[in-house]
Amino acid sequence: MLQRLSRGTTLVAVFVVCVVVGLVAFTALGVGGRRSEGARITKVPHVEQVVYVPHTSPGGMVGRSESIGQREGGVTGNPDGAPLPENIPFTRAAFDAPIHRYRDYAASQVKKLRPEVATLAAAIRRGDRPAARAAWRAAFARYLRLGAVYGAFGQLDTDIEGLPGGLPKGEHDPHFIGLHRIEMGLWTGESVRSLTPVAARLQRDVQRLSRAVRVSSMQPLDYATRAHEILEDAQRDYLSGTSVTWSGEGVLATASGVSATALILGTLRPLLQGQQSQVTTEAGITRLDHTLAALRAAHGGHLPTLSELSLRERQRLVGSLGWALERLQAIPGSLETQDPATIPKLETKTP
Amino acid sequence: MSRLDRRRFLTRSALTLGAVGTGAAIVPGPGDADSERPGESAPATGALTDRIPFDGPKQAGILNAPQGHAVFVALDAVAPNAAALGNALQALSYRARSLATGGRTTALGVDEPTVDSGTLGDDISPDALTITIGFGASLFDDRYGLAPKKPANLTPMPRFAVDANLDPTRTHGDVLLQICAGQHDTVTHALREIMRVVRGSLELRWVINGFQSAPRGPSEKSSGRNLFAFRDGTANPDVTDAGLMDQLVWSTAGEPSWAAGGTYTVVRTIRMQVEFWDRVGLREQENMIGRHRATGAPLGGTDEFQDPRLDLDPKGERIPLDAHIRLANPRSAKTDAQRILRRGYNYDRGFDEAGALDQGLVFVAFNQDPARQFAAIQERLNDEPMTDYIRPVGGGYFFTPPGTQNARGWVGDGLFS
Repeated sequence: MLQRLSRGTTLVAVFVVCVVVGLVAFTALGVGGRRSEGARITKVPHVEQVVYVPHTSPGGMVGRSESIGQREGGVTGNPDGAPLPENIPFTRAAFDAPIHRYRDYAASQVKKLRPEVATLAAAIRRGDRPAARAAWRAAFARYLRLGAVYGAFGQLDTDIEGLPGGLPKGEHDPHFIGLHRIEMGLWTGESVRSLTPVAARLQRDVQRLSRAVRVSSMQPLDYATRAHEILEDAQRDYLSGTSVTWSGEGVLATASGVSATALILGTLRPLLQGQQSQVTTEAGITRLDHTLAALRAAHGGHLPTLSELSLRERQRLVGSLGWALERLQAIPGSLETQDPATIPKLETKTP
Repeated sequence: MSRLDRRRFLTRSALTLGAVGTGAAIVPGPGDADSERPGESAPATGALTDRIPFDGPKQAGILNAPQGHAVFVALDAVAPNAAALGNALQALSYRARSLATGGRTTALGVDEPTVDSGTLGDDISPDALTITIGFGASLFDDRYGLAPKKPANLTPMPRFAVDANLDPTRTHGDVLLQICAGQHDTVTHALREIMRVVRGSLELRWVINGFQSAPRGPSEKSSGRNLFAFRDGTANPDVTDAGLMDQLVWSTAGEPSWAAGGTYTVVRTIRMQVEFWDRVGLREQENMIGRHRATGAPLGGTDEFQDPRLDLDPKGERIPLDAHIRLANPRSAKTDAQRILRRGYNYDRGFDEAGALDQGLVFVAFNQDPARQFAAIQERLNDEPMTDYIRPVGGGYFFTPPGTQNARGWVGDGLFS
C-alpha cells in the first residue's frame, strides 16, 4: 500500500540552481500564456547570484516529500519563500465526490467510445485503410482518456489495449487482440478486412467496459496516485514509442493522458485548493496543454507521430512532460488520509 | 564430428593471428610474478598490478568480488565449420589469458600493424582483469554438431511474465563474455583485442557496459547501491563456503563429463525507470524493497546484515508480504536450495525516445540449475510492486564451463575432444 512521508515537513531549499534552470527554461520556451494564479513566474534571478543551498540543513529532511517543483510560486512567488500549507490528512469520505465525478466522466467517455469503435469496425469491414486508421486514432485516443492505469479494469483492459510482448507467440499469438492488434494490421501490409473478427470482439469488449467503469472500485490513495501515474505511464509506454510500435502515435496517447490527468486534478480541486501542489501541478498541466497545442498548430491541426517530431519539438514536449511529472509527484502526499504507520522494531541481534 | 587437429590449429593461428593466437603477444615483465588468485571473495586492492590468474579449476570472475567495471558481450557463431569455431574459442582463451597476465607487448616491424592496439601502452597492467566465457543453448543446435555435448540444465532463457519488453537484438546469444577489471579502459581494451582474434567466427550480438558503485561504507563489508539507491547483494551466499558453493553454484550430477564443475550464468538487462522511482515517496520505496534505503537494514532493523526474521512477521506488519526481499528469498527450508550467487553491475546507456534516462541493472546470477533456482525466484517476483518501475529488456542463459587447468587449456576444449 502506498504511503508517503510528507506531513508537516519543514521544507528546505534544495537544488535551487536546478529550480532556476527550470524557470529559465520555462520562460525561454515562451510557453507562458494562461498561467494559474499561484504559479506566475516572477523575475528570475541571474544565475551568478544564486546561492547554492547545501543538501542538508538543520531540522530539514531532504529528499522526502519536497520536490524541486514545489519550490516555485508559493505565497510570494519567491523560490526561497515559504510554500503554501498542506491540508492533510483528509477523511476518506472527502474522496467520494471526486471519485464519483471521475466515474461520470469515464462513463461519458465510454459512451463516445462506442460509436467510435463502431466506425472503426465499419471501415475495417469495407477494407478502407485510411478511414480505418483515422477511426483507430480516435478510438485509441478516447480509450486512453479514461486514464485506466495499473489494471483498473483488469483483464478487460488487456483485452482492449493489451500488447503482444508477454504472450507465448508474441504478435502471432491468438490471444493478441484489441486496439494494438488492429494497429498492427492497419500499419503493416495485412489485409484490412481480415481484421473484421478482431474489430467485432473489440466492440463487444467496449460494451462490457460501461459496466466495468460503473463498478470499478477506487481507494482514495489509488485515485490520488493516478493523478501522477497516468503521465508516468505515458512517458514510459507511449512517448518512448514502446507501446505504439506500428502507428507511432505516442504524442496522441500522451495528449490523452494529459486530458485524463487534468480531469482528475479538476475533481480533486476542492481538496487541493490553496495547497502548494495545486499551484504547481496546474502549472505543469497548463504548460503541457500549450506545448501540445503548439504541436497541433505546427502540424496542420493534428498531433504528429513520434517520427514526425523534430528534435526541438521532441525536446519541448519531453521537457514539458518531465516538468509536469516533477510537480505531479507531490499529489499523493498532499492527499493522504492518514499518517504513515510506524514500522515495528526488529528485535534481533546483528550476527 | 571431427576432432580438432591441434597441429593444424597451431599452424593456422600462427599464420592468421600472428603471435596473438598462441598467447605470446604479451610476455610477463620482470618482477611480475604471478600472485595467487585473490582469496575468492577478498576484494582486490584496486591497484593496476592486481592479477587474477586466468587458469584454475573454476573460471575467474565468478567467486571473486566484482571489479569496478565490466562489459557483457554476447556473440553469435558464424564460423564456417566446427574446426573453425574451435580455433576461435582456443584463440579467445589464449588471448584472454595473455591479457589477464599483462606484461610488455611484443614489438613487430614498424611497417606492420601492431599486435596490440596500444591503448594501454606497451606495458600492460593486468588490473585484476577477468574474462569469463559461457555458451548459450543455441550453440548446441545442429550447426556445429555440438548437440550431444549440451549441458544438462541449459535452455534458452524462458520468457517470464515480466518480459513483455524483451528486445530480441539484446537477448540470447551463442557465447557470452563477461569482462571485468578495475578500470574501464582495461575492459574496453580487452574487448577490442579479443574481437581481433575471433572475427569471422564469432560476431557481436549485443554488448552492455556495467559499473559498480564505489565503496562508500559505512563499513568495508557494506554492499554497494544499485541505481534505485538500495544496497544490493546483502543476502548473497558466502563464497568462501566451498560446500555451499557446491550446493548452489557448481554443476554436478547429470552433466556431460566436460561440463561438470561449471556453472549456469543468468544475465538480465533490466531497465529501471529511475526518474519515476525518484518521484515516489521514500516509505513506499522501502516497502517495495523491504529494507531501509539508508542503511540497507531490513525494515525495523538497524544493520544491513541483520536477519529480517520473516518468521516473526507472518502478516507483513513490518516487511510487507509483497516486498522484494521477502519474495526473492523467503528464507525458508523449502527455498534454501533456490538461492543464487548474484554479481550484477549497474548500467547507464544514455536516454530513450521520451527523453528519460536509460539506466538500470545488468543482473548476473550464477547457479547450479536455472530452472530450480533463478526461474523459481523470478516466478515469485512476477507480481511484485516494483515491476512498475523495471523492465527486463535483454539477457540470456549461458553455461559457464569449468576453468582451464594450465596454459595449454582453453574454455570449451571439452566440446571438441
